[in-house]
Formats: sequence, structure tokens, C-alpha cells
Amino acid sequence: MQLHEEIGAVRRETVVEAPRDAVWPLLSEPAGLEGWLADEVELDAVAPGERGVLVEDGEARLVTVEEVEEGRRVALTWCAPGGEPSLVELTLEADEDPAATRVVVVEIPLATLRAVTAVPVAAGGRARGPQMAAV
Amino acid sequence: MPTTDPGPVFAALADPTRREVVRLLAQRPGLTASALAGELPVSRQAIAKHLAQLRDAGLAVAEQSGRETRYRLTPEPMTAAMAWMVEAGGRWEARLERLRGQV
Repeated sequence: MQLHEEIGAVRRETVVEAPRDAVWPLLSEPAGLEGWLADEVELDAVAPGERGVLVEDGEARLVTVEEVEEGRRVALTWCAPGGEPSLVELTLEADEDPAATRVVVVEIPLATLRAVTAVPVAAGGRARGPQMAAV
Repeated sequence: MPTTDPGPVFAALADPTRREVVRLLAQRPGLTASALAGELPVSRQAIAKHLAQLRDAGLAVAEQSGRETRYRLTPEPMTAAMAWMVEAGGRWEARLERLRGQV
């Protein structure tokens, strides 16, 4: 299903010249996220249920870590003030070049996700599965 | 951020049948619910529900034409949804560029 292209979801990817285990700390540690995901990352840990704040261009986003798949995937929900709450999924995939890693990001408004899955994504609190498989 | 909440538009367009209805109305404005049901593998009753959701999201309007109710698209609310996509996409491109610089 080509949902990503047809509706409000955004998908971007890039290839970085480093193996997956070298890239993973940039997703799995608050200090790793700071410097690329946002200017400031106020989060105790990248673990399911953790809540915090990301500051980017002076704008604070409330963030909740939903799922962590060790070495491969981080899913979080976030919302800027007055903005559209959305699910963000960061995934590391193998590249044809074994020394490189493909970083894939998908951001989907929660309104889209709820309509597709009819299952409310955990709005903070325990991770209940962002239901990305359905997307 | 866009001032209009794009949430209802995203929800309305998340369903493949509703996207088909939007496509058909874009090609042939003024179709009736019965005509739409004739084009799609769903009942007229189901089409009526989908049309109601599109109307609630501001994406379609019903117009009385004699004894028939005809529908046409009002795509303006899509502007906010498109603006969200452009802004979110641009931000991710910048973030991934920074990520490349961290490795």
C-alpha cells in the first residue's frame, strides 16, 4: 500500500558511511540525538515510555518514546505547540555497501494513523505499538 | 505551522475508498452517491458514509440538483495538509544532513 506517497505521511532516507552499530548510538542515546534531531534533547533515556522535550529552532516539541528495537528502530510521538501530533519512526537498514547504513525516517500524523488502524496510538505512557505494520 | 488543523484531512484521506471517491470527484464533478457506488466495489450506503466524512473534513460539498444530490470537491483544506508535508519533509532533509555530519 503506497500510503506514504498518497497521504500526509513523509518519508526520507539517507545513507551514512558507517556500519549500523556505529550509527545506532545517534538514535538510542539522548546525547546522540542532540546535534542532529534537535538543538536540545531533554530526555533521560531513549526507552519506551520516556517523555521529554526537543528544542529545534527555538521551538519546543513534547516527545514520548514509544518503541525501541535494539540496534534497529526507534519510534516516538511528538507534537509542536499548536502543531499536528505525529509518529516518527527512525530505522537503520543494511545498505548494499556493508560499511554503510541506510537511515530511513517516516513521520505520520496521528490523525492518519488512527484512521488507518482504528487503534489509538499510546498518547504518552506505555508503548502499545505504533501499528506501523498496517501502514 | 499552518493555521488550519490538517488532522481531519489526513484522517479523511487515510482510507483508500475515500481517496478513490476524491479521485472520481476530481475527474467528474457532480457525481451522485449512486453513480459513485456504480464505479466502486462498495454499497451506496457505504459511499454515503464516506461522502459524509469527506464533507466533515471540508473536502466535498453536496448540492441539490432537482431530486438528486450531487457532490463536488472543495480541495482548499488540502492546502494545510500539503503545507505540513512540505514543512515536515524539509525539516527531515535538514536533520538527516546534520546526521550525516555526525558520523
